[in-house]
Amino acid sequence: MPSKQFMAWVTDGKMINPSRPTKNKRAFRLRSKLLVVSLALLVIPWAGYEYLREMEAFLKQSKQITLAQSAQTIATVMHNRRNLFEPTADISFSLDDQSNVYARKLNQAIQLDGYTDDWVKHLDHARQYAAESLIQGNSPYDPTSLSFQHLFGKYRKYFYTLLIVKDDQIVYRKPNSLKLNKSDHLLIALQDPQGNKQRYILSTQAPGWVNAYLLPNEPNNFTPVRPEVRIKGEWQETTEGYNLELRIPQSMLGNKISFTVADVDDPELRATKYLLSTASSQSSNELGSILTPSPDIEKILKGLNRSNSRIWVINKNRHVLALTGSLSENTTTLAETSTSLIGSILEPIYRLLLQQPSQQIDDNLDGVSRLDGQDVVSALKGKPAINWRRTSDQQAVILSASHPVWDNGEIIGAVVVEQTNNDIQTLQNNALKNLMNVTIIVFLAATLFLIIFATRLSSRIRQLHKQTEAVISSDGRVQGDIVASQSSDELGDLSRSFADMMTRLQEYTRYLETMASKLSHELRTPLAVVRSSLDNLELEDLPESAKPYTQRASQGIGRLSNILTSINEATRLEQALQSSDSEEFNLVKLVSGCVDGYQLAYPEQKFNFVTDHELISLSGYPDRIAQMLDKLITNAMDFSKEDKPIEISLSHERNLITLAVNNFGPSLPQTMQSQLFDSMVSLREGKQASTHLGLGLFIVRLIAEFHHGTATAENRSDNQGVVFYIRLPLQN
Amino acid sequence: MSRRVAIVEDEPAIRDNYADVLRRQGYEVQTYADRPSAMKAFNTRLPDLAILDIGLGDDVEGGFELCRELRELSKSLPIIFLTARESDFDTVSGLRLGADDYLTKDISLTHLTARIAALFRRVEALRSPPDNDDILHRNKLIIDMQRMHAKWNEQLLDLTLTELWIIHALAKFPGHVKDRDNLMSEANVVVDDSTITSHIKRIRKKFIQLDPDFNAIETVYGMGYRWKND
Repeated sequence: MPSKQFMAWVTDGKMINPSRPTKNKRAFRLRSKLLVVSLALLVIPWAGYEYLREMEAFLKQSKQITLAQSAQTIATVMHNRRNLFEPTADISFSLDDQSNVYARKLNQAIQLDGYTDDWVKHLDHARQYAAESLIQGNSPYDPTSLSFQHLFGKYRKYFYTLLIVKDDQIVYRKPNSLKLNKSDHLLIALQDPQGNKQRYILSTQAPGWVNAYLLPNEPNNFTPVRPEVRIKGEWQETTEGYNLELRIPQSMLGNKISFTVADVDDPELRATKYLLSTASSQSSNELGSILTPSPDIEKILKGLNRSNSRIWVINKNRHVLALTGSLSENTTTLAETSTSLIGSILEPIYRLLLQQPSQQIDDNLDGVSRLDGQDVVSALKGKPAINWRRTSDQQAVILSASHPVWDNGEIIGAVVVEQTNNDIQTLQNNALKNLMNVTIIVFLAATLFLIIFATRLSSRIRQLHKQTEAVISSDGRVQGDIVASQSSDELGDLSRSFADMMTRLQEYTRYLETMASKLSHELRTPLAVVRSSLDNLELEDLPESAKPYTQRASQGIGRLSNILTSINEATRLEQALQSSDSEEFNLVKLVSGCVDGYQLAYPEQKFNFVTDHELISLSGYPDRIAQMLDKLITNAMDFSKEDKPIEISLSHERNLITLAVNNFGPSLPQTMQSQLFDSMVSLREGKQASTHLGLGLFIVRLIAEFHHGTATAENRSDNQGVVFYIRLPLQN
Repeated sequence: MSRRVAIVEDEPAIRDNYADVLRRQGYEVQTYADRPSAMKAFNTRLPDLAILDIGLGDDVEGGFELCRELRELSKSLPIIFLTARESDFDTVSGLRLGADDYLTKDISLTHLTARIAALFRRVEALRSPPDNDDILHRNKLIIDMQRMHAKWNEQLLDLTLTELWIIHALAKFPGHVKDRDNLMSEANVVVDDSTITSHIKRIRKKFIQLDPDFNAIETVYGMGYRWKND
């Protein structure tokens, strides 16, 4: 017989329990890992944002170029047209700029009431006159004593002016006094259209309607020549002084004028304390030029007007000659066109996060008479310039491009073109929104796909895991097959190799299981040789002294034969179970009969049979159940204390029958409880009279399992012995 | 004239041991190691009894084949399978082929010779008139231990020696429970419990073939079996 088989048997047919991996949520882990991986998709919005910033820079760049070009174009139109910038040829702009008076373009007639309401739009740009405008003073200048703000404008055929005078002490003209300069008064010096210089004075006895008086053309003569009713207005007291609102017909005025406010504080002496003049600081007779926005330039600009931009033309003193367009007109609403569902859901969030271009821009520049920007200064030095600045209300960014206007190599002014970056911002916001929408859709789709993919993967892995778990029983036996997956990927490979592995393992297990029977079979023949030889020997005429040896040899052979028989029992039992037919029988009767039999066979051992039932009908193999009971009783008797009874109980709950065999005696070691029912495991210590191979309880398990039941062993709760439980399901 | 026994066995030691003991008993013994040599001899002259091993060297089922051929040559020739194989499947196969008994090799030579003697007695008895002393009547059952056969309802039961002895042991004292050890010693076999169980099962089947209502052999769980005499 091949020795290889023998070697394999020596290693024992029992398999060691493989250590089970703890069941944790590996499916969830796999899925969550893939979700984390999907976060990499967040690079998309980041990249998009970077791209948008690039785009913004590019747009700004191109906008700058466009704006600079349009500034240049406009400037080109005005090149060499000095007359546009200097409406009166005989007056040079090189005069002191401080003396000039800027005539604003008024949109309506001013009501002469001494209130500032009509001037609201221009009030912020009113020019302040104080210490630097002082032309005469008999005491050190005190701004609280006198200062004034001045506005000058033109509507149709009239010039209007508003003086907001701060005067701590208003002194009015004495009634009937002809000395018009012995009270707070205003001196007006102007050049009439004919080029003659005229002086007028205004003073009043009380707040209210006032007229001017013509003064002789001698600087210090204040005796009025005649009243000049064409120059009239309203004197209105205020908390800080008084307002003077006047009207001068265009027909009286050339293009030079100056206003001088005289302050008289002492009602007794009535000496002029201070003189503040809009013209030069030399005397009240000095005149300043009237600067009016040039209608010619405005005409030109109208033709060049473009939407969303504001065009200024200034002279070289930075006075505004013309202004057209408005930054606030930009109300084309591109933003409100989100059509997608996600877009509309996210719109409020975007509105919160993204800076919206403001529709109303207040940059405080609309009414100015002079521009001061860096680019303007640069342009007036002959260098086109571009400037980004925020509006005063910080709502928008304005790009302004300036270009000088030349006349025969001399700079006569500049063109400033302004635009907000609202269009860029709107464009950028829209692009950002679209990007976010697309990103969110892509992200959701990708995440969904990944989740589905991960779920599919993990379910396949779980399936394989379940199959593997199911194929190997808790005691390490291979039962059944793994269905090899058909898919061609790695998981399919894994499944196939598992299936292959299980098949091979099963073959090996089967080989091990049949090992014992093969071995016993192989041993029978040599055993028969020995036995038949011994039998023959006994028939020979042996000397008396030889007889004990032949007897002992026979006994040894007998024992060996028994061992082989019991080794074979389990195998033959399995075969027998497969081939026999099940029948319906009364389990109670079977067990009680058996117990009676045991009592009869072993009178010295007491048996108690306990049950509440008279009939438990079970479909199965009564002989095998009896065989199983035999083994249990044999086992119980081997460990039982002789004076204590062995208790057999049978109970029936719902669909489960429990057969318990209870004996007093030594406890089971904890570690062995699960292996007790395996083949070739015996807890018997030391030498015993009969041979034990540990097959009895293995047979018990086989029979219990063949009836779809279980066999377990536990220590008694009082630790005085052991209970063996057989649980069999009732089948319909 | 001494009876002639043929032993077909591939293991020389066993073959010679069996031959020796049978010669001592006064039988004339021929031994063969394989099927062809045995068959050649049988075709020339049939033995009075044949003892066959199933596996003959490389010829795994040689014994079965030999049994079939022998049965074709003679209906009445007693054939005993003596083999190391002890599965139910082999036993059933052997008996179906018409063997009179199926023994495993751990049987003692004493038991073996007893069976051989019993089989010869059966052959002998068939030729001589019945002797009523050895006839057991139990209701429908008649056992003739001289001729080694049994009848149920006047119909002959096709039983092996082992089965006949088991029925005899049960029917001799109706109502008495015979445990497995009793039955084993009565049947001159040393086998384990489950083999007795399968013997009983086969016996019942054979009765049921003749009489579907047969229930005279009763199982007493935990103890054994008894004959019920209605």
